[in-house]
Amino acid sequence: MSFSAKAQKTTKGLPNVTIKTLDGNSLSTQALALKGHFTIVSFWATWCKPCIQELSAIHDVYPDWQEDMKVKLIAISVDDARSRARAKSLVKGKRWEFDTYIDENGDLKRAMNVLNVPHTFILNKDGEIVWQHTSYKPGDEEKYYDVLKKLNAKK
Amino acid sequence: MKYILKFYACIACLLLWSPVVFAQQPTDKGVISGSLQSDFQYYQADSAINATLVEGADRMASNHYLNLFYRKGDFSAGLRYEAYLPPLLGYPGEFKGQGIANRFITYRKDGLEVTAGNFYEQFGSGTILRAQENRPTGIDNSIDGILLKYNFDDMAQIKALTGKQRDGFNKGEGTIRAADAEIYLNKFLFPLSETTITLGGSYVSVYEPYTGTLGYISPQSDAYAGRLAIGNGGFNIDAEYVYKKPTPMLSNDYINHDGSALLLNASYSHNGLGINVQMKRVENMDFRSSRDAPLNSLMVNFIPITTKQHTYRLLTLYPYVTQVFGEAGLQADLIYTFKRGSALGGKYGTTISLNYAVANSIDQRSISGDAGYESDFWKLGNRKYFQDVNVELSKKWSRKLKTTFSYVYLEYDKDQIEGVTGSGVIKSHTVIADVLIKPRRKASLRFELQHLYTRQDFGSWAMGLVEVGFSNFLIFASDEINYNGIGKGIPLHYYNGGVAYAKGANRFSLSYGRQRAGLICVGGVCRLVPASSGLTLSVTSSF
Repeated sequence: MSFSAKAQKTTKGLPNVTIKTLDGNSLSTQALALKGHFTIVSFWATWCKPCIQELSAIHDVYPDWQEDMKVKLIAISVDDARSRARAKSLVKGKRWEFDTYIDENGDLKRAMNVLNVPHTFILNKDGEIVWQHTSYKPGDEEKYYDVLKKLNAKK
Repeated sequence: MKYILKFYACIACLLLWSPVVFAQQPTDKGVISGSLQSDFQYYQADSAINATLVEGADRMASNHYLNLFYRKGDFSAGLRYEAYLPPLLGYPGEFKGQGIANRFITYRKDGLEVTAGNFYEQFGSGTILRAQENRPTGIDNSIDGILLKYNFDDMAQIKALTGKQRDGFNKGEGTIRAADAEIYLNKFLFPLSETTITLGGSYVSVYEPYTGTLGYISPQSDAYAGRLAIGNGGFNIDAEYVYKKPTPMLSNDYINHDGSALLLNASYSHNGLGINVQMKRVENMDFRSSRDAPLNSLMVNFIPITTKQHTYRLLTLYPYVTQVFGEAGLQADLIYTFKRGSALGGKYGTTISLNYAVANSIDQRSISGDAGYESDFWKLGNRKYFQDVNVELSKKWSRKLKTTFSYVYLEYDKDQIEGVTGSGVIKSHTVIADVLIKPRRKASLRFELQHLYTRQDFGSWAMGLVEVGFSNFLIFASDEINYNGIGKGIPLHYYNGGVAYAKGANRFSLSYGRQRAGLICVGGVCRLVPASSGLTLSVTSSF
């Protein structure tokens, strides 16, 4: 394909769609604070086992990562409206300190070409998508850390 | 007017799409992204598990999906090519052939959003309207038409739509006209408080001409819904009530009876504790955009299960499916994580989850006449469809070891849930151990041992699974053994093994083995598949 990779990079922020907070209020993805720190965007669902494994694994090392650099994880649940309440109690019950939103109509999922969960993106300090990964096996979180470390070294 | 002009300008730009983006390389021409998914299956006959092949049929089946998505400024557009050559076994019959199955164009600016073409949408919990794509289960009931949304400065939102639903490579007969409004009352009443109050209402109407002989059938079917959600810090309650006028159709035996659904939810979560209680009552809520739609096709709404969706393999033998004709259900969910550093929490914390769910019939007495039955809203029926009591304990012991143990007791009314006769209620006890060992930073070994005990249906099962992960590879092998079932003494093995490779947004997986017959459920949607045996190759890629 001949379209330039450079053009892709400079315009590749999060697509503008509406998602919901855990309390059910609508929120535009444009309102998310994505500048000035690295962002991990992770698509997950309460019924997806590898997703929970992935988020639990990141939860375990999150304090270390945050010590090393400015990084934030945004968890996007693709659960339907009925599971929204369950998503909230799971996040709080597991003491996850991630910002969690619900993409109950799958708008963000489709706009970001996510086929299956988990699917994880890494955004640079300008909020541009620079890396992505689909599926999860234990240890993959170390790959994310390596990508973040490389990005951090560039600055 | 300005928007309408822009809208048509955008359609023109879609027509010019490929020359604009591919032929030139300007930096402000927008972004193309997309995804590809291909699933191939090579089937072989396997009499041990009743996997049969039709004489002369193609042994190779494959499903393919290519999505392209274009984004420039306030515009986005997309299309999806699908091919079923032929469809995988058990996939719905309407998915046959190939072609452009979805295309749309969206304009978004200053709170306005207009979409023309295929779109997915959900009102409230989806109990009144839900158009969704769920590939593994073969559901794509997108609406082809116009969708308009307007957001009043995050204080309120309205949606209006009209169109016809996708049915494989065709469209359903009926036209859906629908509107929904949601208002965030707290932003008017107490803008500075943490309390949220959301009030919403929906109207959905389907028009489908009727030329038959049943006098009580009207071409138009209407449904109304109201909902309220209140949240304050860790406390949330929400409720939704849906009323549907009679929709006589194939799936409810053309009865002239109205339908309703009531959903209630209360939850509390704070500092390591999450509690969630859900209740629902559903009566005659099947709602389609065509009177003769079979199985999962042309569903206007979708009522999710309020039971826990289990993902461990043996538990997927008996998954619950919402009984839309009549059901009353209750679920309670508790999850607690002992603090890191506490006696029970250890260094990394310990999580315990408890879950109880029950689904029961409602009072429904058959009567003669068009209405089909009578029901007392406050009375339960005398048949229990499903019950689930489960507990899960998960703990990380060290950098190298993590374990999860589960116990599950299930009661499953197979006759009711799968529409069969003579199987009765299956009671089972299941124990599962899931152990993860990480010897090195990027290497892992995970194994699962599962045992399901039952004296009904196929009898008891045991299962083992091993997964080895290193670099970008995952190698897996499993065996589900039905050891005292129909074979009486001859254990039946459903073995499966393979390898997956994932790097970046590309993933390939190749496996060989046996797949047992049953329901495949993803996200609360299920599809019945026959037993099969053979080779599977899957490719997914996002770009």
